[in-house]
Amino acid sequence: MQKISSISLARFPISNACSSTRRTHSSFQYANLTVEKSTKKQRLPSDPDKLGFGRYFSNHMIDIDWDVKDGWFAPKIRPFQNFSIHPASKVLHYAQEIFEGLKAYYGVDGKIRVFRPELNMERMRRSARRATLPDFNTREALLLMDELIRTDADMIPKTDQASLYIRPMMFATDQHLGIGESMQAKWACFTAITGSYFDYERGIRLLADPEMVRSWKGGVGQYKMGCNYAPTIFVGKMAAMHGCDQAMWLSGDNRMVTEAGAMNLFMLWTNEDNELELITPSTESGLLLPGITRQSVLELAREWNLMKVSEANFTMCDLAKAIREHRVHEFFVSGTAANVGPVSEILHCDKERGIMEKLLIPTMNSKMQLYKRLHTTLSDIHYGRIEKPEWQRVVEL
Amino acid sequence: MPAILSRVAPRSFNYVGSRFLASAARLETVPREEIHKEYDRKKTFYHRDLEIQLAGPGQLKTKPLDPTKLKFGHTYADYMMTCDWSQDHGWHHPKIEPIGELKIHPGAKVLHYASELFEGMKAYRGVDNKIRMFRPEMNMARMKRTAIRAALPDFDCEEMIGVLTELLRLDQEWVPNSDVCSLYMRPTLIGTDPTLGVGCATEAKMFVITGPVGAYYSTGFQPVSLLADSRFIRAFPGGVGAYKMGCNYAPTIWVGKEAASKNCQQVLWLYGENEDLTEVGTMNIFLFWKNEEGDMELITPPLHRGLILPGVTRDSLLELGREWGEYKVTERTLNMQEVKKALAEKRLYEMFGSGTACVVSPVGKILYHNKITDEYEELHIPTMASKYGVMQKFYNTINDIQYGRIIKDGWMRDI
Repeated sequence: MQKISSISLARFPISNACSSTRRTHSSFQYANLTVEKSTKKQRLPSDPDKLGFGRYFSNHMIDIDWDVKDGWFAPKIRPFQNFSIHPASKVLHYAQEIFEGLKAYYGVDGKIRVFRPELNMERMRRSARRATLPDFNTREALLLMDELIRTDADMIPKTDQASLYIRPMMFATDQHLGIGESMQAKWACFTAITGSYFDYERGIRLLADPEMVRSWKGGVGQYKMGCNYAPTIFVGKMAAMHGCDQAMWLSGDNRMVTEAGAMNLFMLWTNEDNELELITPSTESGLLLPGITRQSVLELAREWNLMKVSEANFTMCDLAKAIREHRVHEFFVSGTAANVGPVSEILHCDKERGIMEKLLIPTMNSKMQLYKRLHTTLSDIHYGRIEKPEWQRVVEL
Repeated sequence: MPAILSRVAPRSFNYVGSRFLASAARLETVPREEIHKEYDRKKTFYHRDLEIQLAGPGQLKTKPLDPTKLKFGHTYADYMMTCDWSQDHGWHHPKIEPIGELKIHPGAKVLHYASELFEGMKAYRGVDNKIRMFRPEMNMARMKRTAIRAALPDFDCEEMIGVLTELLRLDQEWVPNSDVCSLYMRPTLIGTDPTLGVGCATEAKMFVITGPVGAYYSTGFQPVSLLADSRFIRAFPGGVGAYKMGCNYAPTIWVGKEAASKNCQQVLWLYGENEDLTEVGTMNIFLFWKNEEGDMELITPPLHRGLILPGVTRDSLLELGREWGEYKVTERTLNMQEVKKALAEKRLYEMFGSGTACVVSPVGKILYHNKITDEYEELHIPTMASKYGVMQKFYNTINDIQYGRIIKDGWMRDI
């Protein structure tokens, strides 16, 4: 059994009146699990390059119901199949839904490792509170996910070009159309066999348009709630029309740089004080998601101690100026699906000057190749080439 | 088969005057001739393709005895409409079938990324026993705009209204025979394709469910208390506050609980440094006052910043107010300092929300969080004591129009 590191819940103002005590069980229990094996087998393409992201689902899923009267029902692992959802369910109307994304990897030593899953479960619980969905126990969720991975372990490709993407989710299934706390919910988790996310050779191109905003002070940008994603789909389409891969999100009147696509971002630059600095926007603003890969990159960089490492805000203006002055050496994104990916170009819609400015970043030609070193190190930890037990939860087969 | 159940070819809806298209047109409407030029299921589904699956005798539910007691969104009628869409084939045939659970893939975009939008509208049984919908083309135009923003498929307003009409014909006995009740209709559009990438849906489903709702004010107007705290926001520039996307609602539920814990029924949504008033709960907000120049004025925040849902009731009140010409009618940004000043100078007479559910909802109190002192201030709004009766007149007039007691050219659609 892996040790579960204790992470304190992020502080956010919840009044006492909101903390509910009505549940009969504080969490679903692994001990009550029932398993129904699937007779069907998903077919996978033999070439891992053809897997794509989140297209090939494995054979089983976790399904747990909750209602306000009885609390959590016994968890089930059952064959992967459609949900039956009442058309008035709150999830379909008011987006009462949260999710997580994490991965399991088939290691070079034949062991299956999940990367820091306790951090995802703690974040999911924070999202649940903000979305007024029920709380659960991190340890029980981890045990259930281990069991799900075990059940479909033979599907994980034995290569370091692929992984098992794990998608825990929770949504409101209450059948009343009034906007309010749901009386019923479902916690589910399924997995998808996944290849690589980006073409890392070419570098990622970002569109920075201050008129497209992902999150704002007083909103829910720091939680993994479904509602943060729907508005970005159209913007992603706009980015594609400009030949970009993702949108880079700016927020506020001063155009603070926050995220790119659904990922965190990092910049290696020579700052105004002529210091070499790795900088990523601070999560204190509440505007960005506190990514697990983000946290891991920060921890590795601090451990290596090659440069100053900062969590601080910077604006689009600071960024554009630094790029023009050739002070930005590397710019990269981080996320579970992408690991670490280099950014080669930012297309900036500069409204003041009325121009579209193409800012080229020499990430891939940088001397230091920090992004590559981070990518390789994280990948080595994922696939067990490096042992870092506190970051690797081994699923015993 | 009874006549009402046969498939009916789409009629011409000539009586929808161009005025309505104009008022719906803040809202980029496509010239309708263009849509009807050719049969193209990539652009819309068609009323004429409608397939109806009748309920067996066992599937029909008993209707509630006293519809006035029905709570919103707890009782549903017998039928629902569904229509599937895929990127490759466009819209399938629309279907009306007995209401039942939807089969949704666990990886469907709607369950993860809130790829969803909806509308709320009502059908009323008039005093002449005719069933009518209130300005459905306004809701459908808004639904189309929302669909574009949500990267979900487009459709034609009139085809949709044709299908809604058929649904109402089948469920006509569910439209309560009472002039305080109505049948609430909930058109919904969701992204259903099972791929986990955050991107455009390649499959979608439109569905409509309906349900009778009782009297909103069974014992007369109940003034509401509002929590006004600029630490929480509903919408922001560059966001989607002007669209009826599901994602605008999820974050408000927790704030609603916060309000309830302070004995407030709704949230007054403020925006920005100046604490501009934007919406109240899920309603638009109106204020009737004597402005600084001494004019009597009805005021509501404007749509241009994209922070406010363009409500159908909001639009109707503005149009009626302008038609009556009894006071100045203004759409402009309004902040908390102005409200506080007007209250102190006793120039603020009425404040009310407007929406489909209640038509109007009087505000009695605002619990205002002062961000400078970090203290709560209680502001009493004298709406219920107003001698001007502005809100009351709106309520009566809209009700009279909805229940067919007075005819407002082009606002009601007969079924």
